[in-house]
Amino acid sequence: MRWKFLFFLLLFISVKSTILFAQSTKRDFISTELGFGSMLIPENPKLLNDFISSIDLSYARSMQNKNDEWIKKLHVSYQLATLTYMNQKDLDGMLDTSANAFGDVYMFTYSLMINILGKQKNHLYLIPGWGVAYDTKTFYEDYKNIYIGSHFNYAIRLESMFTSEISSKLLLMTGIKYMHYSNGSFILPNRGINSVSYKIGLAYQFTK
Amino acid sequence: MMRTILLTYLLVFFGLICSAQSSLNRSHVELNLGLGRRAFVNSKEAQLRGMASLNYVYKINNVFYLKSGLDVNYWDHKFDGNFSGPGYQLIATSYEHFAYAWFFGGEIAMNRVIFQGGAASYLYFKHFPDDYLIQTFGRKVNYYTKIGFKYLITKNLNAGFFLKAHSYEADYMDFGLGYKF
Repeated sequence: MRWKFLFFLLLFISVKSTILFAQSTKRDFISTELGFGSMLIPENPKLLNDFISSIDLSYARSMQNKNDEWIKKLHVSYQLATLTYMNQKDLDGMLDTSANAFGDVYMFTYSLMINILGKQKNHLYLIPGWGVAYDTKTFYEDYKNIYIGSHFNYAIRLESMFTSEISSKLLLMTGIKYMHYSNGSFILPNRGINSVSYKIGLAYQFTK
Repeated sequence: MMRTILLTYLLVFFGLICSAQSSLNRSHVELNLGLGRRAFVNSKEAQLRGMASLNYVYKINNVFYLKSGLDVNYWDHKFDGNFSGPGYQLIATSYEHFAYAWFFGGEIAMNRVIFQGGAASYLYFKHFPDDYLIQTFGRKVNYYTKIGFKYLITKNLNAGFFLKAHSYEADYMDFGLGYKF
């Protein structure tokens, strides 16, 4: 059963670098993440050979000065608007049957950065998000792409991130991110794309 | 017969809850009606799907809510034995227009935007035989999940959407209105 689920799971193992243009605990900030990943499908004999590149551009708005009851009760630190670009042209799919059948993906998601643990230097965040994704190539452009049937899809992302303040200007961050997009069977086929990525990075604060 | 029993139960159960509302200011009953589009297999054509839900919503505080109630699922095309026809909906194929399920879930209210999610167990759903489902899809179809958002237009009226899925296979996306009694 689990293997059948993993059958559809594209696992990206990526190392990401993060640059924060401005960050403080109670200020808005912009961040960008560059992803260099690899696809893993358990049934695929050639594991970890499909390199994926992606980039996230996020605007994070601080919620820590807000007094809304839901923000306090959920411990929301930031709300994030994220634009993601994923290049999937090197994905080969299950047993390489979908080689050259995937397109580029443009994604917009809205997320909440929820502080689960930590108050001082170390924090554990849960970051759920929802949005839309546009895939440039579908099953109806290339019949080998049995995963996506429509250009427009909904997108879900769920991320856990641990941050540790190394110094007053330097922040170490590591986490796991799950992303999914599909169209809710609006048009078939609709297996969807699932990805899981591990990330590690450093953030540097340019301003005081 | 089964449908009559369920409808009777529904009317009695929610009638009692509605009558008790004067002393239960913390909670309410909500009726939701929605429609969605479910594609035919390997075709851009689709059939209409829908759901009517009647839930008792228990307020834990101003942010967290628990809800439970009856879901009435609707299929515009029922399966007639033709796997190339519009009634074939993979694991969600139904031999009848209606199926009934008991839902349990929760809500998180973020001012006017409310996140909703939960799972429902089928009470009555005439689907493919279990042996065929396990052989073809690797699992039975006893329950489904719903996850989505709704927006409070007024204090009592809301509009929203949710994704209904059988395990990891999406069934359809439902768009509809809800009214809080």
